[in-house]
Amino acid sequence: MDTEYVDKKVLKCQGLVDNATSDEQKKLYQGYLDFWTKKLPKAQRPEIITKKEEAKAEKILEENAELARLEMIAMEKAKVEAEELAEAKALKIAELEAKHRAELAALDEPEPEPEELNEINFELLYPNKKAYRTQNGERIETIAYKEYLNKTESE
Amino acid sequence: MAAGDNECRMRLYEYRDIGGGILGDLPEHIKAASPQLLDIYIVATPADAAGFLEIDPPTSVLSSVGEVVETISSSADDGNDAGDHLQGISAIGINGSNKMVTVQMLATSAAWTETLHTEIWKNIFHSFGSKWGTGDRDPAGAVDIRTVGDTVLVELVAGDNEGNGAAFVVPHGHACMLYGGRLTRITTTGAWANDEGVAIRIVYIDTIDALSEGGAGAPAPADRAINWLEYIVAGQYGNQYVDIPKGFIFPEDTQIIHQDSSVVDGGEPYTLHLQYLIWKK
Repeated sequence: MDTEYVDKKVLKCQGLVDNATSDEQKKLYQGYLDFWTKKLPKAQRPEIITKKEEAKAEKILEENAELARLEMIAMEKAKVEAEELAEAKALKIAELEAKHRAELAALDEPEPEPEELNEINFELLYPNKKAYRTQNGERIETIAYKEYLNKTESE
Repeated sequence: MAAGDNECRMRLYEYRDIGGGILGDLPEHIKAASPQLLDIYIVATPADAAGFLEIDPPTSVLSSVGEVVETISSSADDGNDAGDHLQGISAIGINGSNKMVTVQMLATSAAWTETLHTEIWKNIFHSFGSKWGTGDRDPAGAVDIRTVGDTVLVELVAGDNEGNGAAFVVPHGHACMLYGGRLTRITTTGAWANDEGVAIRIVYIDTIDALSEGGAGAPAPADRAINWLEYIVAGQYGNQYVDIPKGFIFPEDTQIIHQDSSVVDGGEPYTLHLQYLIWKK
């Protein structure tokens, strides 16, 4: 028998088996498929994948896909967690740095500006003393005021 | 027509195609079921020996859970080319929904190599040519309807638009009534042989009978209750036809085949017209 003809029949039967609408019908078409497949020399018999086998392969693929999906989710989760951790860490570091900077800043705070040496400040500091006395209409620095000025300058 | 030859024309008419008058005396509930009419017209000559033989049997009986079929022509001159001869073949049978149908199957290539069709069939009873190109009005080669396993079911021989097959099965879930007919003895000489005649049988095998065929403990074929209706036209005088009465009912799944025989041993031509009404219960 013409091999091309048998080939066509095998393909046709394969299609019928795959599209059978009931088990009985599938069995019937499978019988035809076997009938025609046997007519081909063994070497030329096409690899026949039945719908059942196809479904099995699909199931395995689906399961693999599910596993891959779960792995992907786990990886994503780990990534997010790592990112969150890094962010928290960065925040913490930033916070600590800020705190440290604040402390450093506190340490480096400049000395209060020395009070201006004048009689007002002197009299504020020593309310019961005078910075000047008047002698013969001339203003003369008092001893206390002189000491105040000398003392403050020498500090 | 030589002794032993026979031809059957089978057609299925839908309710809308049946003349109103023909169903006038039917009970309303049958009319309400929109019955179909299976019309069988046989032209034949029994063998030159007494003994009933099946008239125009199908090449193979398809009794299936439901399967698709193929068509093929032995001639490249049949096909879907405009200049081809036969382009389409129709089949009468029971489809996957247990309905008796006529379906036209068209060639899809110019050489009409094997063509797979989509209709699901449980049985196929008969075929006839139903579409032609400009080449000729009958098939150039043998055109057949076959299973995918290449078992030929019914066929047209080259030059003949009417295929074989004169038997049928009452579809599951349906009832069938013999709706009359006529057996007519015919002659080419104008004279009737006194000691000869024609006999026909309508053989009906119901599901129980068919089931009991073969298998352990089943009755032998000769003991099975196969029943038939028999009609004879014979002798030199009187009417050379017999009207077949209507009213006999066949239940679902009944197989009905037709047989003929010479009354003595000389095959004489005859025509047999039978109508069966089929409706869903």
